[in-house]
This record gives sequence, C-alpha cells and structure tokens, in this order.
Amino acid sequence: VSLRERLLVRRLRERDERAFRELIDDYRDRVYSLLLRMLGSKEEAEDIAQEVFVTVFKSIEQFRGESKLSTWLYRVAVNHCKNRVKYLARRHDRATGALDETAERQAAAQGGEPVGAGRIPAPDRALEGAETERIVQAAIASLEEDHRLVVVLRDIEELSYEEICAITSLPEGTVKSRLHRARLALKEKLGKLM
Amino acid sequence: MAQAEGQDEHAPFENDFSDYYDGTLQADRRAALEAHLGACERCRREYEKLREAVAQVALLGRAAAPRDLDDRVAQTIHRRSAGRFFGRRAFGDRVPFEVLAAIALAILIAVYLFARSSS
Repeated sequence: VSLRERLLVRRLRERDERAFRELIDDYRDRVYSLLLRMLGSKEEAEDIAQEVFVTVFKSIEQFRGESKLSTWLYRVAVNHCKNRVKYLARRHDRATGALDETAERQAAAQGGEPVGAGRIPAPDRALEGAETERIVQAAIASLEEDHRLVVVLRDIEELSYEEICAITSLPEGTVKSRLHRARLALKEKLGKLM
Repeated sequence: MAQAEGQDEHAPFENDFSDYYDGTLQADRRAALEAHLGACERCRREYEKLREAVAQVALLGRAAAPRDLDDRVAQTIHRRSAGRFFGRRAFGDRVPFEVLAAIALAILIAVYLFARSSS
C-alpha cells in the first residue's frame, strides 16, 4: 500500500470531504465500468455506483488496510451489484434477460450507441464498432452472474488472479474454473454471432 | 458413441485453453497442448475462437463514468446526513490553508508597515 493511499485513507476516516472527492476521481471509472458490465444498464450502474461511494464514505472505518483500497472498493461494488441482481430477481425480472432487454432498448433509443460507451471510436469504424460492442455486451450479459463477474474482473478490468480471489473471497481454483467455463460460453455465443 | 469418444479425446486439451491463454498453464501441460494444437485442426480452430472471443471482450475496455458522479454522491450524502456533510462550504473550506495563511501574513505585514509609518 502506497504512502499516498495511507494518507488518503486517514483523511477519509477524518471525513475530509476533499479526500472523498479525490477517492471518487480515482475510482469512479473502475467502479462504474464494473457495474455497467455486470448490470448491463447505464441507469442501474450510475445508481449503484452512487450507493457504492456512499457506503465507502459511511464505512471507511471497516477498511483495515489489509488489502489495497481498490480491492476493498471492488468488494463493496461487487456486494452492491449482487444485491441489486437479487433485488431485480425478486421483482420477478429474470435478471440477465431483463437487463439484456434494457441494454437493447437503450442501444435502440440511442441510435445503436452501445451501452456504456464512454469512448468515441474513429468515425469510419463507429457503426461497425458500436454493433460489435453491443453484441459483446449482450454475450457478457447472458452469462451466469458468477461467470460474468470473473470475466469482467479478469478480461476487462485486467486484475490478477490474486486480486480477483481477494475481491470474491473464492479460491484460485474456483476462479480459474469459472473463468474457463465463462470463456468457453463466450466462445460459443460470439462464434455464432460474429 | 464414436462422436462421444472423439470429444473425449479433445476435452482434456480444451480444458487447458483458458490457462494457456493466460500463460498460467504448467510447463508440461503447455508443451502437450502445443503439440496437440500443432496436430489437431479442430482444437486449433476452437482455441482461435476462444482467443478471439476474449480479445473482443477485452476490447470493450473500461467505460467512463459520468463526470458529475462526485457531485451526485455528495448531494446524496448531504441529504441522508441531514446536512451534516457536503453542505454549502464556507470560504475557509474552499480556499487551501496555505493561501489563507499567506493572505493573513500579508495583512499583518501591511498593518505593521502602516502603523510604523504613522508613528
């Protein structure tokens, strides 16, 4: 853990509002992106990202410094995300199916703009890139939640196995096994579509 | 039956695809897989499909959060804390302490110089 991070955590514990804005600046994209890829909806991702940072503000005392701050933040985000998926399931929405539909509705409403596209592709490839991104996002959304999580953490967030194990509290063998099955499923889904 | 036997023949190699892609496969199994990929067109094609699928997922990259997320979080905390946090900030909260100290020092010096010139 770096000196900057230790100082930041100390200031956060003192409820330093500037420190909290620094924290959001540092982590907003990571938290939002994870939630967007997991939930498949911009609105859901924005709402839950807010809740994640509110939780961090309220619960910073619970961070004991045994892991990196980013690991703890991801863990908070994953817990919120799982709760949200459960909540949606309880509302009789088939979670992934409903979110997939939401993603498709959003993409249609935005003239094909991919869900969560924060980056602007080159103009000559914009349409092709947007369509590909929509297809890939839909394939990810169709995975089982546990499989989706390891794919997002490993292949999009590019975290190490050690970090993924710390975030998910799973043994490495389980993470690898889920990732393997998720990648095989993506191979089948994307192989047919692309 | 023959098809099942055929699949069984490839399954042990296919089970190693993900670790092979990550570069975490043990050396002996990596060597065995590479030898098999060299000889088996089906597995070579399947591995290439997996590699391409993972590459497409990676290309999604990290999405950018809304720029006003910090303000929205601050407003939520302000509301839920009944105004205890992230309220309207006083001058002293907006201006760094160093700047305030420099202004105070400049005022003191000005007062001192004025008093001295008056006397």
